Amino acid sequence: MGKVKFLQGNHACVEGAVAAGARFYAGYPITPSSEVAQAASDKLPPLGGYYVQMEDEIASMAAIVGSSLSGLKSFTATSGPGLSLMQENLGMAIMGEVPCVIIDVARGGPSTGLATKQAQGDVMQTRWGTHGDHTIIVVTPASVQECFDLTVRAFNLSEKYRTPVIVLTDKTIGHLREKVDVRDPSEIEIIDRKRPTCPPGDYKPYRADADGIPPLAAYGDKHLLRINSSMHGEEGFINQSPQNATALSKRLYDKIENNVADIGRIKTFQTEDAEIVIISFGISARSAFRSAALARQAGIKAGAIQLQTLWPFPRPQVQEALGNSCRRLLVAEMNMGQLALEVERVFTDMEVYRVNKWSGEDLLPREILDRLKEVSE
Amino acid sequence: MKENWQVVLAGEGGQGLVVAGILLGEAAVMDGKNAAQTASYGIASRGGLTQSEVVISDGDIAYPAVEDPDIVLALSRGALDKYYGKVSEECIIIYDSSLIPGDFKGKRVFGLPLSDKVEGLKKEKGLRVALNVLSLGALSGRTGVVSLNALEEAIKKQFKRGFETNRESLKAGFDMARSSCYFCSQ
Repeated sequence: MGKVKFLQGNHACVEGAVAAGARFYAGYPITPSSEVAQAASDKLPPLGGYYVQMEDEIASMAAIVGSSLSGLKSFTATSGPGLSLMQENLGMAIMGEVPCVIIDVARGGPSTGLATKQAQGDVMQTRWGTHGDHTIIVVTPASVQECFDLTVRAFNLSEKYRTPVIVLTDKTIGHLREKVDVRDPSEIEIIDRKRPTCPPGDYKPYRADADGIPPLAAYGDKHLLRINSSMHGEEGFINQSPQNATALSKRLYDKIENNVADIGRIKTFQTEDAEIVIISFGISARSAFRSAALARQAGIKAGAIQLQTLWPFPRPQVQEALGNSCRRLLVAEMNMGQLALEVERVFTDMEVYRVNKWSGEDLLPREILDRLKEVSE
Repeated sequence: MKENWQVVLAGEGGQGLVVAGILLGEAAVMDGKNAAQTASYGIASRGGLTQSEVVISDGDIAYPAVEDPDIVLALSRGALDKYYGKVSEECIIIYDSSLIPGDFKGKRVFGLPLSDKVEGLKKEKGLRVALNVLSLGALSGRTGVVSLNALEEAIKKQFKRGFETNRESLKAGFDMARSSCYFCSQ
């Protein structure tokens, strides 16, 4: 049985990581994510795991890539400025197909902008922060329970698709304390990476199965593991041919984008008959659900959708949730309009409105409600 | 008994209001309710307006921060000024009358000499009483929002030492406020 606790979002992420089987953390503490490092340093060593405080975020990301390839489920945590420094090695993890989890507790930017305040400005950094054609999985909790549940899910997706996954929270969710059911590992689904089953001599570290995902050996195994961040062939040796570059990039893209049905996840509030639906994520989704309830009291047929998966954008799930009467969407986020760009791109047949705030304060239910009233007229 | 409470604990940095909010939330969870706690504070560790917000509910909590407070505990003049006369008349305001002199009227505005009680207990019994813990006792006594028992359990969990002193502090605050509890069945 799990235990019911009253925990901070940052701590719940660590409980989720531990439940998912993570045993290695390397990081460089930064506000508002530092409690993740603190809790990881408390929890991992007694379980035989490792906590390493690194000299910076570049090294932190490098360390979790290395430890994951040695066979341990690994994670780090940071905020926007640290995520900027991790981008180079994050790209390496994508290209090298290294499972690992990065928790990004967002704060106000750019740079040291609003170091102790709230923002959701990392929507596009998580998607496009590292260079080159790539895709990535980002999950977005809106409660302390979801910090636990979606961190477990992040590890599962990371192991299943052999790719880095980002858990994107924010300053408010990270420091919010709520009741949380810290589920026992026996009560939750835990996915471990596919290991090679062929004789060691036959193993090719980048030979994909029919699902597009190659089994992963660990350094030190009899199966020789070769990891390459350049375009490579199945054996892991460099191969810069146009045919290989085309095929490899496509496989890395397809293994995620062709599985949005599995990866995408949303939570809905009264969308069935809604004429206007708020689309949001993180703490703003809590405001969105509340404002939709208030709007209903005021006679506006409003609904709300929380994206629990931010990237890849859960298009089929959102499309299914929107009823026939929905003509308008309102994108609520604490930035100058980043998610709105994706919603506008996907829903060309809808009127897409925005409600934004970038003052360092949370977007409040009544602020979304005011905007709902404005655009419903 | 009300099903939803939005509680604000406000005062100055250093008074232990963030910890008080955590204890209140933890106690509510021990009472079998849902709770959400948030805090806002300045960059200084002492002084400056600090507040901790706790939402307590029998059901799910949609939005986890306070929109319209039902209870305000004010431990500084600045904190009282922020809420007195600006919240609904139904909102219970408990303030520290030994720190904040003046005449504050309202059917649910209560001045309690919380700091004087802290000093009194120090002199009488030599106890190192903390204002935040004593105030939580008073909050429980006056509103019944959480049980005294749950607060004791929350303190036991939070602090390794000094439980007896904290228990006495809670009880002193509770007894002081109990005489006119608004919601407890008496």
